[in-house]
Amino acid sequence: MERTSTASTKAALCLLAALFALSVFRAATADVTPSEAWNYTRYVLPPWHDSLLHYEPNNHVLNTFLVRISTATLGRKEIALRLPSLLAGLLYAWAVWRLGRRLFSGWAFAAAVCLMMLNPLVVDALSEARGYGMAMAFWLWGLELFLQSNDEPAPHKLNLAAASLALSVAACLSFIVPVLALGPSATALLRRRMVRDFWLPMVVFLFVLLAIPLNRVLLSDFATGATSLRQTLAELTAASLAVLPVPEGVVAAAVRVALAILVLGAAVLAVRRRKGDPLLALCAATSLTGSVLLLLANRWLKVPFPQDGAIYFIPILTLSCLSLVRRHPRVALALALPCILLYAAELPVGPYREARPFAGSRDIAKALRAEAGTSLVRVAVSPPLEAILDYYRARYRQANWQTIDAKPGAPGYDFYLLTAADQPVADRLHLRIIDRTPGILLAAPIAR
Amino acid sequence: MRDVIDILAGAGFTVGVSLALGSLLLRALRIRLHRFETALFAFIAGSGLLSLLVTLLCLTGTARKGVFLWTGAAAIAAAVWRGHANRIRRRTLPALPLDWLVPVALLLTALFIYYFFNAMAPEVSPDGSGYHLGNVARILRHHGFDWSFHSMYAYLSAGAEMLYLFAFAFGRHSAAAMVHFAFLCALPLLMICYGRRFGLGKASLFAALLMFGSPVVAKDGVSAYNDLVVVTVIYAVFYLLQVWDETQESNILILIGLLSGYAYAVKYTAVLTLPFAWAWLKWRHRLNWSAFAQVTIPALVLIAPWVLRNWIWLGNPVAPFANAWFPNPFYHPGMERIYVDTLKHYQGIKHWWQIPLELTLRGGLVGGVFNPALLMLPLSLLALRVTQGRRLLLTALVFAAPAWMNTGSRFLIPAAPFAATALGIGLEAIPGALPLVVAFTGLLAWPPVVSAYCDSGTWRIGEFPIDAALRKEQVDHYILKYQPDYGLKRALDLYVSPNEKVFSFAGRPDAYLDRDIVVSYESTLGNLVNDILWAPQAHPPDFRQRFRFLPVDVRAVRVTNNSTSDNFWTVAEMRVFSQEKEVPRAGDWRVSASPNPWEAPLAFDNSYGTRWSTWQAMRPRAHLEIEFPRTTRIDTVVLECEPAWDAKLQVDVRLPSGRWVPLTDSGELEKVGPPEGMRRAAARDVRLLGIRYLLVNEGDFVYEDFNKYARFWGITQLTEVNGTHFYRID
Repeated sequence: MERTSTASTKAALCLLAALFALSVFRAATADVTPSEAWNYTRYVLPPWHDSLLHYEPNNHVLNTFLVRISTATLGRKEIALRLPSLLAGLLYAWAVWRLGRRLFSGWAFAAAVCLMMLNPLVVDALSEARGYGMAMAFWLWGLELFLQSNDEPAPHKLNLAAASLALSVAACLSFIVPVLALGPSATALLRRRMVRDFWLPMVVFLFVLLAIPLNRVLLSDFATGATSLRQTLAELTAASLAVLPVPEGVVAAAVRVALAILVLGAAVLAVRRRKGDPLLALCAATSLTGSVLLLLANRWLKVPFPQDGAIYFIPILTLSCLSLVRRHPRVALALALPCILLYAAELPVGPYREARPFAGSRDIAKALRAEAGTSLVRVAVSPPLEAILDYYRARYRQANWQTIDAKPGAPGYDFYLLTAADQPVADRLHLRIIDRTPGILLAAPIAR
Repeated sequence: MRDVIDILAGAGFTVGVSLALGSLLLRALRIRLHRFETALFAFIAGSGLLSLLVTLLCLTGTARKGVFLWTGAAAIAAAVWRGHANRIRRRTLPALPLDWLVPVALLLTALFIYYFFNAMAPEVSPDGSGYHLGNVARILRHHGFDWSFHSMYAYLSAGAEMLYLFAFAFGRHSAAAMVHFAFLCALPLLMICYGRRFGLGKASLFAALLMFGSPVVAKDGVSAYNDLVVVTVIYAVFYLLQVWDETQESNILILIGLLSGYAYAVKYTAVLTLPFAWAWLKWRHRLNWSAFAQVTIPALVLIAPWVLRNWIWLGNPVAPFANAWFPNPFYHPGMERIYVDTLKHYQGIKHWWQIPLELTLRGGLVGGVFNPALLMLPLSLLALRVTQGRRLLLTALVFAAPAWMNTGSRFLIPAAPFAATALGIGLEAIPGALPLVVAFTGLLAWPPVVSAYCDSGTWRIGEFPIDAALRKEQVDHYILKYQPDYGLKRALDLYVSPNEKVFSFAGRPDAYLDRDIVVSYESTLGNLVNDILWAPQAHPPDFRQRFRFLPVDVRAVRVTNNSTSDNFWTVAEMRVFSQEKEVPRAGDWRVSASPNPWEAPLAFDNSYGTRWSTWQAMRPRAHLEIEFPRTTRIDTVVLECEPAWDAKLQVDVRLPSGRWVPLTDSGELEKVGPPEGMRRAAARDVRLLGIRYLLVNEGDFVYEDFNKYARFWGITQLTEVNGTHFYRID
């Protein structure tokens, strides 16, 4: 590696520190998202036996397990829920640092770090209690360990890579795709006793982590998702580059073309450079293989494409792009800066992306708590709010919120929690508005 | 406290006597084993000798507590005296690495404590408090086998029950369970010894933990079953075959033979043990006649009592099986077939992949669950690289074979320790895998953790009954929680005299009810009573099948079936007529049938409650026959029955010349309606069979009719306990 520049290193460190501080702030203050709430009430709060009786793809096993520990130790607050993700975010940052150092030094390194850290989806994942950040962190560490093993053969590094990748899958099952894509790529690169030192240990680690939680899984559990890889990429593009004043469709199309060129170009260069550029080889091979795996799974097993779960494409494709221009730091800097600016422009400081339609749910829950007091009340909610209110009932220990039914239009309830789409119900039932946010309305019958 | 002392004394005395007999045997055979091996093999082999001794006492009607006490004391005294007189210094096995031994030992110890109190608690397992200890209690009451009591479960070889009898005499039910628990503890120790001896230390530690921590193994081991005795003995045979391979000591073959026979004596499903030993010797090119005799003769010594007992008592050396080859009046081949078929099929399982999940993770549909680590069994194929691995896997396959006949997970217990050790060898070849899986296995073995992932109804250790174990909780209260039928004890003791029988459609906790319970599916008597009680509603003989032919003088007449069907052929009454008048039945008529000749008279008893049945699938040449003492003229044969629509019946007659001649196969079927008074007739017929008391659950077929028409039946309800109704036939 070239001699490091202290200014760029400090800048990168400051960025990481600022991002961590932002993540902690958001973890402590942001409203719970529907997925976090659903996972908490379905898998974290119930006793072990009840939560192991069923499985849904939204249950990210390792994350659920760690959230159980953190909430059992620190209580039911949002920050306790998100603590494992915060710590995983640090792990991710560390991996990004090491991989960045492999690619560049100086300001190009800092730019690489920014690019890997500032994507809005990644920033959310660094603290949101969903397991995506954890999965990305472990996947990147798996990649780093492969590269270390390539630098200096060490069977224990391959074992650690196996453990790391198994943890990645356990943190988010959809990461099985990049793991299965990376494994053969590393096998082709390293050509060592991969079966004994990597594949078999990974099978064992995966079994230990997933056998119990997944023992009720059925293929039909994976029936919902995107209908095409195009849709998956479009969702990622929309989330990453929302700030661009260009129609989404145009952006998505442009990104698709660019990515196709990127992946193919990376693959060609990887073949030419071969062992001379292992990071490029691994990233390019992973991108290609992962895409092929998704297509084959859809074709043969009728498994839909990932929907909101393909976040792994972001670090993989970013690394592929950076690896392509590794030998040209100035070009890398020039390409990275506009992207960094776009990311910075939409840096999420408020609610998580998923929770934005329901921003202010915690305040609404507090208002309900104040209104209901200790009396037994029945609450009707719009369906998207059901899990959120269930979480706050547990969080604030409001066992007196006796029934929470997803029947926003039914009369006879003491309180109504309505989304923007259901707000006409308030007029129809002549409800008195108690509190409101842009996304949620808390109302009660006038007689109450 | 006195009870606790009795339990521990009874179990301890049994284990002590076994050790004593075993050590005497090992000395006599001069077998050179390492120190810890000697203790374990002494216990296992000695228990076989003790089992044989108690069997002989039972056969001679001298199975009494006093005899047990003095015989046992003599054995212990002899062993102690021999031990003092002739001390043998034995080598120790190679040590295990401490960083493995200590954590695994701690896990095993923690599990041991948990299991210990479960074993000490009152015995409430279904089969344990049912036929295992029911037979034991009956034998103790009669000081030997009760030849008048018939049940398929009493016909099984009972080598383990003989040990339980010994313990039961002193400490009752829990002492018997503690003896089984001793085998549960011996097995992992034996597995660890095996690992130490053959250089598989870590793999054997893992396998021992896996076995000891498997919920179904644990639950079985703390109950008065026999599966842990079987698997420990089989494992001992395998172990000794390896030792013999190394040392070539011919006396080891005697011990191998003894244990092979003992395995059969404990449970029929271990029948492969002796052939396995033969095959092993043959494979190692050392099965000459001398070796064959050294293995076979000791085996036969332990097998023979059970085979001969059944052959002489029942006419079937392998009762309650193979009744088609050894027809007898005690257990019908058809019922055997139904019983075996029921056990062979998985209920509620739709896809094959559910089976391994049920066996390792869920357990609700297979009666128990092994540790989830066994799902990684495919990795045991890595053990094929080493000799011991290949041997272990082959042995696992052999002893898994009987599990084809019974889908219950405990029937895979004999194969499990071999599979577990092979898995340990395979995992050891994968860097980092074995320590992780040991931790995983240990965590998932802990009983409260098991409850988190398996089906809620799975048979497993679910609590830590320390109060019940130490008898601080009332025993009756504890037993009633798990065996509600225990509440019938008082009524049975009050109303039923000791030599009377009680009929039940379902099994009951025989171990606690000091009366003989005739269960519907366990014997021909049970089948018959069930059939009689069902007759008024299920199969009243409301048809007459009339075969007319020209008058003919005959010495015998029979109705023969010529078709094949899975259904039974039954006849309530067979009558013969001449010129429209029934030929009166006479005492000198000889009636017979095939199959089931013993129940032929039921078709001639003038009772519509009873009927003769093939009690097995219809086959050609099944027949019901009357032989007249003198030539008799007949022109009609009438069968009063519920028709067997699949049957193709034909009337044959035997002419005075002795020749059988078919007459007609055209019968007229006439529906006549059910005879009157069937309920009273059925109750009377049951009483004539020596049964005056009935236990009927509310879910049983006859219950509603009993409830509504008790007067017509002529029965009185004496009491009702937890949905079981106790009736007397007046």
